[in-house]
Amino acid sequence: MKRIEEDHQWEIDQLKKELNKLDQNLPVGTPELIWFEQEVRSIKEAHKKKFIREIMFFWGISLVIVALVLLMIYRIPIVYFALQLAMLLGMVIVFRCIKRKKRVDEL
Amino acid sequence: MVNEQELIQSAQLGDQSALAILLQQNYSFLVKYLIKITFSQDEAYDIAQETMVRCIEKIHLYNGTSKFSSWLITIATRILIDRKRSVQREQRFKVQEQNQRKLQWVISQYNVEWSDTLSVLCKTSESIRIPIILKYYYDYSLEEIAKMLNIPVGTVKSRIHNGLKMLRKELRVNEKD
Repeated sequence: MKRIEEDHQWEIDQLKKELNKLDQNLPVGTPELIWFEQEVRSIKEAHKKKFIREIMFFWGISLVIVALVLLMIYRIPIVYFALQLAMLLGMVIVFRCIKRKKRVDEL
Repeated sequence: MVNEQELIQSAQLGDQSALAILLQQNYSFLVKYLIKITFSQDEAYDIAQETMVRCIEKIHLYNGTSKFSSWLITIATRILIDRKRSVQREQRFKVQEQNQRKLQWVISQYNVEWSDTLSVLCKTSESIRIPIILKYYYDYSLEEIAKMLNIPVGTVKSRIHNGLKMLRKELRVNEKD
């Protein structure tokens, strides 16, 4: 790498010089501290809200699943097995439809 | 005057004012870096804003192994790379040309001449431009650049080498013209 850099020293110097010129001459306005404080506050609040929403959603779904499982196993197992069977049948029907659609597309 | 390390520690413990001070202190450095790698003021301010959002959300993950400003420009660079991935090459080229003209005009307002070096740099792709700027303007090591861009050191080396070769070739053509 050192050899390459020595070989291209002129280009590297030009690069540094021109980028420095760009840096020095292009003004960048920095907002007041209060603006940053408001940004931090609002972004943190939005992040917190999003986090709570996601946690609640996850908890909701997991509770429904757990409740259903408990209900199926301990109270009325027949409904649980019926649901499982329905799901299996549903999957078979969906796969058949997909296969048929593929065949039609091939024709 | 509170030093940066203390501000980082306070910010990680949830002090919003400390985080705001940190962001304000590093804002112009971040925007200037982004202007140099995007050649667009609008995009630079836009990515700076997105970087701030990520920084506020992830401040607890900053481990202090690099400078805070380096951490910020790593986030900003990755945001830029993600954005560019979704844009078509042709469209990217058009936008880049427009950005160059716009920045050239802004610079001319301050009586500064737009050089061939900047034109060539603007024409190169971000994958080459970013390592070159990080290496020769910000003095980062090859290992640090590799870590920032999440690519192997060998790739950084070859991109820098290709960039320097391209710069030489283009600048010589311009000199002849």
